[in-house]
Amino acid sequence: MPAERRQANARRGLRTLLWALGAFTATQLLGGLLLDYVWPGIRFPTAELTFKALARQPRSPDIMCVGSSRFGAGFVQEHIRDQLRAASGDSDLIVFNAAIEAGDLITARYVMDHAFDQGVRPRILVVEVSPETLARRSEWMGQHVLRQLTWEEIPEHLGSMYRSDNLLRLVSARLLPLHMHRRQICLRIKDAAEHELNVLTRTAKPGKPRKPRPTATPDQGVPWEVFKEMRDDRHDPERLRIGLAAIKRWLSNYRVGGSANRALEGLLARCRQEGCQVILVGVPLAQGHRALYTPAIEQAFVGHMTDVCRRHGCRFVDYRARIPDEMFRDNHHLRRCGGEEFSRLLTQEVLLPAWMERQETMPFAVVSGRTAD
Amino acid sequence: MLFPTFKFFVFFCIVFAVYWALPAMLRRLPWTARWPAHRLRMAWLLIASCYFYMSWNPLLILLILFSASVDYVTAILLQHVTTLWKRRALLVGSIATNLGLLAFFKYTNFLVGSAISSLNLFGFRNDPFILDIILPLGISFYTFETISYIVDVYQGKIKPVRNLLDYALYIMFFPHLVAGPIVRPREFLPQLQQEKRWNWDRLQLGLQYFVIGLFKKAVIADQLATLVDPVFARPASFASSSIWLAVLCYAVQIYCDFSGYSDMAVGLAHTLGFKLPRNFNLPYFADSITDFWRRWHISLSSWLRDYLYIPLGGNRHGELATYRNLLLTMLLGGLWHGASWTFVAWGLYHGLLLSLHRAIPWPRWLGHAAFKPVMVAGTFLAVCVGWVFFRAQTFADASVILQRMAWSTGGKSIDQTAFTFGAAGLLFMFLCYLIASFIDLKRVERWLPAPVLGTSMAIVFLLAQVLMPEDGKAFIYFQF
Repeated sequence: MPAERRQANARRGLRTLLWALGAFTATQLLGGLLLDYVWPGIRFPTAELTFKALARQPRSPDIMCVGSSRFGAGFVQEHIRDQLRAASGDSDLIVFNAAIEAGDLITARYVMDHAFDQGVRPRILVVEVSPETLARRSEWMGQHVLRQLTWEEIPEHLGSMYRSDNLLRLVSARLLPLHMHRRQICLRIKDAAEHELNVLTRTAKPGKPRKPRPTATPDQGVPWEVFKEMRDDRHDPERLRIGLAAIKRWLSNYRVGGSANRALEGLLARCRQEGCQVILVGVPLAQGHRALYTPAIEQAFVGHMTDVCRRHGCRFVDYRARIPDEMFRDNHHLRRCGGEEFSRLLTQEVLLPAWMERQETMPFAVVSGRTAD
Repeated sequence: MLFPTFKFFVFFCIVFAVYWALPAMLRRLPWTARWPAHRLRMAWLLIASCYFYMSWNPLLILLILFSASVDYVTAILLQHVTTLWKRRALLVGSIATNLGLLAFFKYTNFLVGSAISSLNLFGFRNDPFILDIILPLGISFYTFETISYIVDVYQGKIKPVRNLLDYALYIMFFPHLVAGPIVRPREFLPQLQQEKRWNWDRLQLGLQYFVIGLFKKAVIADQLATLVDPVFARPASFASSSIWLAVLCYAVQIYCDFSGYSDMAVGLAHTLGFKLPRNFNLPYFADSITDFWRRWHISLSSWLRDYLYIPLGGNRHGELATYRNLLLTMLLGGLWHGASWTFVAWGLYHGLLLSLHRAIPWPRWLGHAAFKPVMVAGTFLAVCVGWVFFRAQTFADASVILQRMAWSTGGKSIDQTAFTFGAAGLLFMFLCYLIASFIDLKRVERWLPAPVLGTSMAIVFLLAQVLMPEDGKAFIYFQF
C-alpha cells in the first residue's frame, strides 16, 4: 500500500475513533442529565414510589417519618394513625411513612426537600437516627451516588465518597449513567413495549393475568412489600451475622460528621424554616448491634444529638434498647410484632403528647391543604 | 475475567497503554535506551496473559506452562533426531501427554460414570460418584494448538521455536486463550517476530470488531438466553410453538455468543497489532452441511480436517473408509465440545449428515440459484435439530423436544412479550445475514464518512451497554 494511502487511512481511523468517542461521551452526558433532572425515578425508583404515594394523599400528612428500612419495618403507619385518631379524636389525621430502603439522613433530606417543594407541610416529622447513619464515613454513599446525587451536589459529598471508597463508582455513575442504570431503563422500555403490545392485541385475546407490581394506595402509603426486609417475618440468623459484620465495619474509626451530618443540619434548618417540628428517634436495635457501640461511640453520638437538639430546638428520643431481641428479624429490622410494639410505644410516649401539645399551641393555620405561619 | 466486564476493561487499558508506550518509555531512560523494545513488548504481553489466566485460577497456570514446556522441548528434539521411530516416539509422547491431560481433566468423571452405568446394566450395583476435578479454562483450545504445533514441526512445515517466550505467548496470548479461535503456529508465530507499529486505522478496525462482538454477545445472545433457558430446563411443559421458537432462538444465541466472543478476540488482537483467523462466515446461510462446516467455527473444523480427518485417510481409501473417517472425526469433534453423551450424539449426527450429503447423488438442478433458499432452509433446519442434542441436558429432554417439534402438542406458552422479543431477534438476525450476504460490508465501511462510521460505532456500543444484563452470563464455549 502506498505511503499516502496508508496515511489517509490512518487519518480516517483517527477521525472515526474521535467521532465515536465524542458521540459516546455526549450521549452518556446527555443521558445523565436527563436521568438527573427529567426522569429521576429511573435512578431512584423507590423514592418515586414514595413520592407517588405522597401525592395521592388527600392532603398534606400531619405526621411523617423519614428513614431507612428499619423505619420501614418499625413505623407501622396504620397503627400509629389509628391510635392517634382514637386518642385525639381527630378522625382526619394522616400519618405517612416515607422511609426508603437503604436510606439515611442524606436520603431523608432528599425526600423532605422534594416534599416541601411539592407543598407538603407535615406538622411533625419523625427522623430515624443511629450512630452509624451519622458516621463521617457513610457506607451508603455508593447508593447515593447511583440514586440521587447530581453534578451540582458532587463537590459537597466528594470527601465522604473518598472516605467510603466510592470514587470509582462516582466516576462510573457520572460518566456511564446509561450503563449504570441499565436495569431500570430496560425495565421501563419493557413496560412501555408490553403496554403497546397489549394495546395492539387487546382485541385478539385476553392475556394471562400478570402479578401486579407494588403500587401505592392513598390509605396505606408505600406498600409493605416494597421493603425486601419485610417479605419474610421470621428471625434470620444468617442475616443477623452478615448485618453485624457490616455494622462493625461501618463503625471502625468512628467519628460523627461528613455528608450525613451536613444533611441532618440542612434538614433541620429546612424544617424550622417550614415550621415543622422534628423528633429525632434512635431506632430500635438488637442487643448484638448495640453491643458494637463502644463507650466512645456512644458518647460521641449522644453528645452530638444533644448539641443538635439544643441548636435546632428539636427532640431526641432513644428507642434503641426498648424492643426485646425476639422481635427482630436480624440486627436492626423489626418483625411485624416488633413494628407494632415500637409503633405503640412511640405513639403513646412521644407522638400523642407532641400532637396534643401541637394542637393546643396551634402555631400554624391550615390553608387549603397547606400550612402557613 | 470476562471480556464484557469493567475489570477486563481496566486490565486491557493498562496492558494496551504499557504495550504501546513501552518503546518511548525505554528511550527516555539512558540505561534502557538500547533494550530490545519489541522483545520487551512480547514479554509484557506474556505477563499480562499469565495474569489474565491466573485471575481465574492461579495454580492452573502451571498446567499450561507444563504442557507448553513439553512441546517446546519435544519440538527442539525433533529437529535434531533423524531416526524415524525416535521421531514418531517423540511425537506420540508429546501428543499423549497433551491428550492425557485433556482426558484427565475433562473426561475422567464422564468415563468413570459411563463405566459404572455400563456395569450396572450387567447387574452390578455401584453408586455413581463424581471426582472433584476442576476443568482448566481453555484446555480444549490450547491442547489443540500445542498438538498442531508439534505435528507441524514433525512434518517439517515449520521450524521449532527457539525462544520459549515466543512459544508461551503463542499458547497463552490472552485474546484467544480461553475460547479460541484455535490459532495455527504458521499463522501466529511469524507475527511475534514482526515489529509492531502504531496504526490508527487498525485500532479503529479492532475496536469496531470488539463493539460488534459485544453487541452480539450482550444484546442478542444474553437476551435470547432468558427465553431459551426455561424451555430447555423443562421442555415437557411447553407447547410445540414455544419449543420451536426456543430451538430457533438457541441457534441464534449460540451463534451470537460464540461468534461474538471470536469477534471480540479478533478485535482485541488487532488493537495489539496481531491478526487472528476468522472463525465464522455466515454459517446459517450455508446451502449444505458440508458448506456449514466450512463456515461454522472455522478454526476448529479446519483443525479437525487437517489433524484428524486427513491423517485418518480422508477420502483417499474409498467410499466406506471416507464415511468412517467422517463419522469418527465428527464424533470426536462432538466429544471435544463436552464430556457428555449428548455431545457425542451431536457429533455423530453431524458425521451422519456429512456422510449422507456425500453419499446421495444430488440432482444438478438443485444447485441452481433459484433453489438456494430451499437448500439454505433445509440445512438450517438440520443444524437446528442438531442443536437440540447440543443444548439438551439429557437424551430424554432431547427426545421430548424433537417429539414436540415433529407433532403439534399443547402446553405452556412463552409469554407474549418474550415471544415478540424472540421473534424480533430472529428477524433482526435474518436481516443482518441478508445484508451481509448481498453487500460487501468492507467496501461499505471504507465508503462511509468517518462521522457516520464513528457515530454508528458509538450507537452500537451504547446499545450493548444499556441492554447488557446485570448478571453477565459467561460465554457458552467457556465450558468446552
